[in-house]
This record gives sequence, C-alpha cells and structure tokens, in this order.
Amino acid sequence: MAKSWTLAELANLEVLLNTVDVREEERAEVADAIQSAGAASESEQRRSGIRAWYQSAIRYQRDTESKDEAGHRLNLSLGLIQFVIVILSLALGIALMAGLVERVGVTEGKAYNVWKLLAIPIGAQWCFLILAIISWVVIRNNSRKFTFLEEITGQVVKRMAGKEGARGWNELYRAGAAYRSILSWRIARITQWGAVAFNIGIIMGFYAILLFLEINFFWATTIDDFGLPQLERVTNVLSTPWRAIQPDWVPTQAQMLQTQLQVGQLNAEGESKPWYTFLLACMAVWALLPRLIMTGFAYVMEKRELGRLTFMEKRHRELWRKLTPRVNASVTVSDPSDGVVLIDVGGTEATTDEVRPFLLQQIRVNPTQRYTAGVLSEDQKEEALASLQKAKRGVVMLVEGWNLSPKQLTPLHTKIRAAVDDREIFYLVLGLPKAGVTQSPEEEEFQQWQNFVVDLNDPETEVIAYNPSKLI
Amino acid sequence: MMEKLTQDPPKFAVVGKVNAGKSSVLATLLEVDDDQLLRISATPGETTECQEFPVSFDKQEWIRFIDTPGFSRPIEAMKAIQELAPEGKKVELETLKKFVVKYQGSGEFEDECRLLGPMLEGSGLLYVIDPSKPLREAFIAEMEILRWTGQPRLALLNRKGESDEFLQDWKTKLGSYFNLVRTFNAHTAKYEERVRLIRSLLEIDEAHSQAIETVLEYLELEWDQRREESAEAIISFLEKALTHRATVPITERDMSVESRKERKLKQLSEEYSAKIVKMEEKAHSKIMKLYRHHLVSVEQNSSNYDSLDLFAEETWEKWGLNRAQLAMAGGATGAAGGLLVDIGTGGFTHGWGTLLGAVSGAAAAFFKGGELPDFGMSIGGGLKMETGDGTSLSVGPPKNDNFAWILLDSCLNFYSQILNRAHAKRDQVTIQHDGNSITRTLKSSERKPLAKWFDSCAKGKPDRGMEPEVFAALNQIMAGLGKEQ
Repeated sequence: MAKSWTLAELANLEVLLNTVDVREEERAEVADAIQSAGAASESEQRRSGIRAWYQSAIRYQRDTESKDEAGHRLNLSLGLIQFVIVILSLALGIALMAGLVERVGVTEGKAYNVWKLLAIPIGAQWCFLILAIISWVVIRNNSRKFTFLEEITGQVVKRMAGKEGARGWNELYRAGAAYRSILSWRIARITQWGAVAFNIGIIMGFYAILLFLEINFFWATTIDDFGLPQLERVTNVLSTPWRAIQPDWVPTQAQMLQTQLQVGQLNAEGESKPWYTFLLACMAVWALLPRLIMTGFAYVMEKRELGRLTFMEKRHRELWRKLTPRVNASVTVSDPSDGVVLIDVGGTEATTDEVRPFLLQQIRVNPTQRYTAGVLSEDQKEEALASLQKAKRGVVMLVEGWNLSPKQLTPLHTKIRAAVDDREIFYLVLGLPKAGVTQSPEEEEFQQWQNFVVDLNDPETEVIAYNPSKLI
Repeated sequence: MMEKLTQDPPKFAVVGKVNAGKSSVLATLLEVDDDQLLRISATPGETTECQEFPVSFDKQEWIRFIDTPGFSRPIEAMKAIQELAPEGKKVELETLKKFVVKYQGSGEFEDECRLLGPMLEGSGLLYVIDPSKPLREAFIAEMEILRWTGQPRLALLNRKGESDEFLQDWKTKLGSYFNLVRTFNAHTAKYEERVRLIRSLLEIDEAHSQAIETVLEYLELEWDQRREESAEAIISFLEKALTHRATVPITERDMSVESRKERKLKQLSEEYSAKIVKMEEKAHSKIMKLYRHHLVSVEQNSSNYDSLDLFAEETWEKWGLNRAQLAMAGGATGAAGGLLVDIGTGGFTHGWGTLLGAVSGAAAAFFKGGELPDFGMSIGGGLKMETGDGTSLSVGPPKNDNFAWILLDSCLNFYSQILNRAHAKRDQVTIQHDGNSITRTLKSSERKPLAKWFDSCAKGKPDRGMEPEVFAALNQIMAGLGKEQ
C-alpha cells in the first residue's frame, strides 16, 4: 500500500506538472513502484505510480531549486491561519463568558443567568452548527463551487503564502472535484479547531470567573415556557451522560428553587456548586466534545479523500500516459519480395493497374513504382535510380511492339543493368490498345523484340508478350 | 509490464486456395490497410511470395504470421507428393521436404513449394476457406497436404458469398483434418472477433501459450488505450468547440448600415462554422490514426466537408438528442438552477424556483431543439464605438441546447464507423454520418454528466471538476460502441 498523499504534496505535484516533464528513467521507477506496491486496481496503480514519479521529480529538482516550496508555504500559511483563528476564538470564548456575567438585585451581586448560559454558549452554538451542516451538505450536493468560507480562506492563503504558496493553492483550486473535497475538509478542520478553541475559551473564562470572582447563579423568567419544570427537564436531558457517575453535578429541584431569582433579589443562600459543576460538564460535553469530534471527523475525512484520489483529471491522465508504457503493436512489414519497378518506354497508354494482374499471375512480380524513360527530369532520374536499387525482383520495361528502337534502348538497358546488378529485367511487349484496352503485340513485332533481347546478350533478361486472354 | 518471451515466437502461415481471402484475413487481423504492404484484390493469385508479418509489442516480437501464395494445382501436387513417399509408407514431413527440394525453382508446383516452406520450418497454419463455395476434390487435396505437415492447424471459414448451402459439408470435412474450425469474416470482423481468433490459437498450439496469452493481454491493453485516447480527443474537441467564439473588428459604419452588419454577421457565422469543422477534422484524424485507418479520408475543405454541416436543417433535426430528450435535459438543468434559488431564499419560495426552472428549461430546450442555429452574437468594446477602434463583433456557440449533442453525435458516429471498418476493405471512403443518432440511444444516466458539463461549457467556463466524470462516461459509451451487438 502506497503512502497516502498530503495536501502540501498535492500542491507540489500540481506545480511540478506545469513545470517539469517526465524523464525516461522515471518510467522504470514508476513501473517498479507499481509492482512493489502490488497495486491491483487502476486507481491504486495510478496512486502508487504518480507518487513514485512525484518523489523522483522532487528529488531531481531539489538539487537545483526547491520545488517543494509551494506545499511548504501552503502548509505554513494554513497553519498560520489556524493559529490566528484559534487565538481569536479563544479570546472570543473568554470574552463571551465575561460578558455574560450580570449584576443582579439591589446589591448588584455578580451572577450568571443559567438559562442564558445554556442558551448562548451551548444552544446557539448547536443551532449554528446544525444550520452550517445543513447548508454545507446542500451546497456541496448542488453546487460544484467553493463555499463563501472556503473562498475567503483561499484568498487569505493566497495573500499569506507568498508566490509559490499562492501558485500551489491556485493549482489545487483549479483542479476540480477531487481536490475540492480535500480542501473543504482541511478548511472544515481549521474552522473546527477554531470552534474547539472557542469552547476552551468559554470553559477557561467560566472557570477563571468562578475562581477569581464571587459569583452566583440564578434563573428567572417572566415566561411560563422557561419555568422550573422546563429547567428540570433541560438539566435532566443535558446531564444524561454523567448523571450515573457524578450525581452531584446535577442540580436537584430544591437547589434549583434556591437559585430562582425572587423579585429582583438574589438568593444569597442559594447553593452555587451544583450549578457550576453542571455547567462546566455541559460546556465540556455539549460544546467542546462535539467540536473535538468534528475536528477528528474532518481530519479522518481529509485523510480518506487523500487516500482515495483517483488522479483522473485531464493533466493526470496525460501524466499517466507519459509514465506508463503505451502499448503499440507494430507489424514489421518489409517491402514485398516480388516488387519491381516499371519503366515505361516511350509513354504507353497501359496503366499500372491494367498490367498488374498479368505481371502478378504470369511473371509473379508486383509493380511498386513506375517511371517513364526519356521524359524524366534530372530529379526524377535520381529517384528512379534509387527505386531501381530497392526493387527486390528487378525491372519490367513496358514497351510497345511497334516501337522498337535498338539505338535508344541498348544504352538505356546498360544503365538499368548497372543499377539493378544481377536482378531480372523483363521486357513486357504490349500491342496497341483497342477501345481503351491494351492488346497483345503482333507476332512479327514480338519476334523482333525477342531478337533484340538475344542481341543484348544478358542472361538475366527476358522478353514476354502481353496476353490479356491468359488472365484468370 | 509483461514478462520476456522465453522461447521463439510462434509462427502461423495463412494458407488456402488462390483467392480464398488469406491476405484479407491477415489485413484485418493485423490492421494493415496499405496495399503496398499487403495486397488485396478480387484478382486471384496476387500473392506470389511468402510474406512475413512479425508482430511486436514493446519492441519484442511475440508472434509472426506469414502470408502465402494460394494452392494452384493441389490435386497434381498431392499425387506428386504421394509418389515421393517410400513404398508402403504414409506421407510424412520428410516426403514434403523431398517434394519441395525436387520442385522448387523447377517452374512446376511453384506456389505449393512456396506455401509449404514455412510449415516445413515449424509454423502452425491457418487454412482459409470460403464456405459459400462447394467442397471439391481440390480442397480435399489441399487439406490432405496440410495434414501431412503435422503442424497445429486451424481452419477459418471466411465466408465471401451469401450461401450457406455448403457450410455443413465444410464443417464435417474440416473437422476431420483440422484441430479447430472457426468463423472469421475478414470484411466485417471487429476487435472482439480478432481477439477470439488469436485466443483460438491457444487451443491448437499450447506450446506457445505464454506468447499467445501475452499477445492477448497486449491487444486488450492497446485497445483500451486507443479508446481512452479517442475519448480524450473528443472531449478536447467538444471543450474547444463549445467555448469557441469567432471575432472580427467592426466599425461604426458596419453597425449603422444594416446590410453591412448582416454581411459581417454572415461572414463571421461561416468562419465560426468552418473553424468548428476544422476542429472536428482534427479529432477525427486523431481517431483514424489511433485505429490505423489510412484509407478513410477527412475532407480538408470545410465547404465540402461531409461530416458536419451546421447550416443544414437536417443536422439539427436528425442529430443530437430528440426534442423530448432535450426537454428532459433542459428541465434538469433548469431545476438545478431553480433549486439554488430555493436554497438561497431558505425555502421561502417553497420549491417554486425548482419548478419554474424545470418548466422553463424544458420548454426552451423543446422549442429551440430542432431550429437552425441562432449563433450567439455579442459586441465587445462598445465604449469606443464612436471612433470604431476596439469594437468587435463575435459569434459563438449556437443558442441551442442540441448543439453540444450534435457535435458529440458526429464524433461518436464517426468513431463507431471506424470501429466497424475492417482493414481488409480497400475502398477509399470519406466517412459521413450514417443517419443513426447515437446520443439518442444513450441512457439518461449516461447523458446526465454530459448535459451538466455541456451546460458549463456553454457558459464559457467548462467545469474542470466534472471533466473526469465526463471522461469516464464517454469512455464507457465508447466501450459500448465497440461491443458486439
């Protein structure tokens, strides 16, 4: 199993994809990595293979310039953002708890309203959390764009991460669905760390106020819906997780009545301890713990998405094609061994396609090139000579029965013989065409051609009369 | 990565009567459509010499096929061979060797000597016959001679005619002479039939199973790669075509005189269409190259281009999706937009956004679906109209939901025809849309990702996030086109 990717590595990979090309030796490294990872599915192979290439490319680039700068800076800036959010959230939590302290009664004693403590740091946070989850799920399923929060984070990252970090972010941002999910989970993790810090701030603030201030607890309402029965019910529900092990941390009905605000008077005899242990436990269990779980969940989901990368985006597919051997069936076909060059002497009307069947069936040769003697330019002469040297079987001279001119043909034959060495030269004697169809030569004419060939005194030369009636 | 071959590659000679289609079988099997390399014609006896075709993958030869001249005088040859057999003994390989030694170069049994050559050196053989022809004595003689070679033998029924009259006679007879009998029509065979034929070689030549199995693996891999690269070419074309805009600078006079404006617009629309056609040609050429078809041409002159005519009414009526499908796709896209409005208002709109989006999307797509294109026109740089500088007129993707589907249809139709064209065909053709819309046959699950992506392209911002999904969908559709019906 190949090691999982990290966000920083992905940023580096995307930058590398735009700046470097695949080296030959890297293909072998990738093949080895795939084999040693025992990757079965194509996705696994891609993950292992692209990771092997990434590591090799980074190693190669590091010698000259730092190519993992983008990921490093991206990590730093995300870490910095997280740090700032954590500090601010912590401060906000502490400030909130300080702000919730009220002055009650004629003596203006410092006290917390139990209902407000339950409603603002815990209840409001839950409402916000549920709304955020719903809208996040809906947006995630119905829009492929980044959420507002994600966009903002991206802008901040780009400003903080410097040129390389911004480049890395841009590449990830442009990359689409696969990375979008990873970025979303990372941003979710950062915000959840903020929420954790906020709740720690709440607990710290609450505890500090209890420690350093003389503080009471009260509850009072002019609305029937927030009376004693409701308070009892809420405390019962909220204390469910610890009631069995710490019953002291659950205020009893009597204790509740003692802390009820009576006509603007704070009951000085009211017992505070059950309230603060209860409220501390509530903050820890119902505010901090969910956020810790959410943080862990975002971390797990990010890891999961990183482990499930398919690398199927266009540029990844291009990279994969470069990294893996392209199978290419090559059928090595040599020139046909029966190939001949046709030399048309004098420009006959017979086309190559017309004489081809006769040549194949009767002389067992196949015309591959055709040149016309006597009308060749210098360039074509060169080309014709080169073709003659390549023709496996030799040359077929296309001649017309009536058109024998030994003075013209003898020097041509000598030239061609020199070019084809000891391969065969065939003289195919054609008759005049009738109705567009080439005929056999007259017997007398053919006899003259036979005599001419005998006079050439060339044992590798043959003369044949064209006879279309012999064709199958 | 495949293993190295530990033995000599297997060799198979393709033999048979003159004009039985031996070269055609090889042309289709090996995807060679070049007449200079592998001659195929209706004229019998065009193969005069044995021609070897070593097949290599990764620069290593894994299998070799040999095209041979056809039997010319099998009955006489059989008798001549029998005469050479030691008295009272059966004909054996040695007798065939004697036959070749005796008659080679003598002018007699020239073709028989040549075609037996590879088998005397250990090649297996594929005996090609046309089962629409009657089973004559000459064929029995051919089969007898081939049996004497003692090499692995596969008979291939390459039917050229329509008649089935003699098929059973052939099958019965071939069964007693050959290890295996298979059907292979060289002029219609597709990839799967080619693979099946090579797989058959495993059954007759177990000694070379490593090489043959590797060839099969390579073939499959290569086929997948070709399809993926074709899908890549089509997606790339679609993205470019759907986001392309043709632009020309215009003057104030061009805009104020109606006839000049019309002329400019017409010229620009034609330029736009020509550019789209050019892009499509490029994609088609890539596909042809991938599938090794050299005789299929793509017209370079856009006015003569036979494949895609954006100004033809027929194109908009018959290609792409039909109106009902367009309405469904438009409705889905509209509904998605409407849903965002509903979410944006926190449900205050009670789902009316989704409903209205769906209805208006469906209606627009339905009514515009079959219309001739109304090229999206825009004028840029309007602030400088007075001087005429910096103002431009541009036309860009037709305002018709079917446009993207028509382009896709054109590509898929071309791809399908390329897949179905056997390399044994030697007619030079320009592939035209055959009138069968492939996009109309797609399942809605296949159309869905494409519709969403087309929508993003039409807005000028192709959804990169969706692209892998579109690639996978297209790849799957194209794989379906290659499957036997």
